[in-house]
Amino acid sequence: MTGPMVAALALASGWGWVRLLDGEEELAGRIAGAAALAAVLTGGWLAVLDVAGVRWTFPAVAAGWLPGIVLTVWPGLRRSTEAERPSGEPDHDGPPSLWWVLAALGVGARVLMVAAVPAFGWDFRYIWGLKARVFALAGGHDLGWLAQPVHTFAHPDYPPLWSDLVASLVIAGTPAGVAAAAWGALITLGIGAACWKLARPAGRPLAALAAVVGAWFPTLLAPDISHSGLAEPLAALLFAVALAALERTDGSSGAAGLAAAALAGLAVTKNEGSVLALLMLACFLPRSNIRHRLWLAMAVVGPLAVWQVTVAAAGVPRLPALFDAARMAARAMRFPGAVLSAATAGLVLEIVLYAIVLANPVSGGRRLKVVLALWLGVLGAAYLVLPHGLLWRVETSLERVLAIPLPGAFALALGSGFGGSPGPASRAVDTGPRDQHNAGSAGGREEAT
Amino acid sequence: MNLRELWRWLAVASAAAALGLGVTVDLPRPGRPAAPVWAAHLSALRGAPLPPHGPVPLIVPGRLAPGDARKLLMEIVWQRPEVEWRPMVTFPRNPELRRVVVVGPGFRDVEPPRGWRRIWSRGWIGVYRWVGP
Repeated sequence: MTGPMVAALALASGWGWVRLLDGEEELAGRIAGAAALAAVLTGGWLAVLDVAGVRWTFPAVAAGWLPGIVLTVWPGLRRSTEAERPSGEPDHDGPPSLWWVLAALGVGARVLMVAAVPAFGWDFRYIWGLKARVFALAGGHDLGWLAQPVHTFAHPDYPPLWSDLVASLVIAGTPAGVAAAAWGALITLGIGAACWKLARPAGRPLAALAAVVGAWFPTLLAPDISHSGLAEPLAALLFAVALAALERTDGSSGAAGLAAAALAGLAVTKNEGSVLALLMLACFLPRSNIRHRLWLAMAVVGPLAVWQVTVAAAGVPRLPALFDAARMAARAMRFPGAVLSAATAGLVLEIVLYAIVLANPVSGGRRLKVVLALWLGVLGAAYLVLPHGLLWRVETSLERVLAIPLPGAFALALGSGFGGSPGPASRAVDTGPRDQHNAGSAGGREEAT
Repeated sequence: MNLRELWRWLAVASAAAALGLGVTVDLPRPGRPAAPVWAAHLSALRGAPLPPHGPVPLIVPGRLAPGDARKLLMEIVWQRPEVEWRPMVTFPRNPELRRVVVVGPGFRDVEPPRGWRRIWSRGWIGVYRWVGP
């Protein structure tokens, strides 16, 4: 099987789970959720196999997709929104609008481009793709390999989701670069769909713009040596899907389940993703009306904790943090200058987008602003304590790391800035063809797309 | 124009700028390098006769610029990730390590000590075997 075919199987599996969760009315939301669940459940299944001592083989991996594929084709699995709608009412997935078609074309073009170029980035070759090949060869997480000092350049302590996803296709005989491209295409599709959903309250034209901007975001999937095949796009997808699910105010179990899955995946996608996921939990959960919040938090923190304990027990080396006050102070003084020196068009754009998100005059999205502000603070602190030269660190990582929350955050800012805040929980019950976030929309029935 | 209207204009303008920059950056360009320069010199490592288990000493002669030895090591690990590489400065005295790999542009200049003989070479790679004193 080719990489894209296998990735399509994973997407079909994710689609089935989205149907079961019944947390999404809109097609864009279902696509985004399916992409996120395809990634998270594949990684989760691989972890289960690893813990159970079952070697990663393609049949074993594919067995994890089977339940979701069954759910996809199960004719009896109707969404509750369909079941509750009185007979005679039209399905709210009506004919797609022109803007939806334009967004689909724009996102689709990018999806095809990403799928067509095998990953070749420096960090892909020597970190993510390398570990994927190692895991595929070993049939699981090769802790002995990770623990060898000679492999410290591969960041062996990093949470493994992106490498696991690539490994899931390498096991099927796909070269690592092609596997990464296949997953990258699925991730691009998901980011575009999530951005449409988040910006939808602003109307279809801006939702289309947000979708295409998300899919074409300049510092995430650029086909160059610094960006190709990296983990940041996966983190961006999971953040955007989690954000969309947490911004829902109806507290439905479907949305909670999707949020939990997306955050759990984000927590095991790079250390930056771990911090972002924990901040999302801390800022969104306490005041949400999601039931069983403690279980949700445990579902998110659990996989991360298991990974951290496992690598620590195996003696996997970590990048040392240098907590020297004088060094930190010196780096803090030099940090603005380093950012200026490293400023590219992409980095400048990102700073502008952060400013726009944080300066959104509409009251909606306040929790997001807190998350972003705290995350930027933690990121800045990390640059003060990490080894190696500050300028080198900034030049080689700041631009792509800053990109992680931006597609989703900016789309939400557009949605709230142009369309108003999400409505209260009492209004957001699934009673028919209605955009739950479109508090400012015109009256009458609208297409979900 | 009030603050909200100004914000809206800036938001839309930024989105347009992001899209423009994204299209500029993300379109594939011909001639972009798809693999590190050394990959061509080291790809033959995949066919090198190395033991399936156990550590393999790796020697990189000192004709490389600082930092390049590390990059060479990373490429070597990429080419043969299943091998338990042990970077060393010189040939080991332990004959149980029956294979040694010397990698670099000057590997042919390396004179192996008594008991070691070169049994295979391609590109920048030489594989040596312990044959006894």
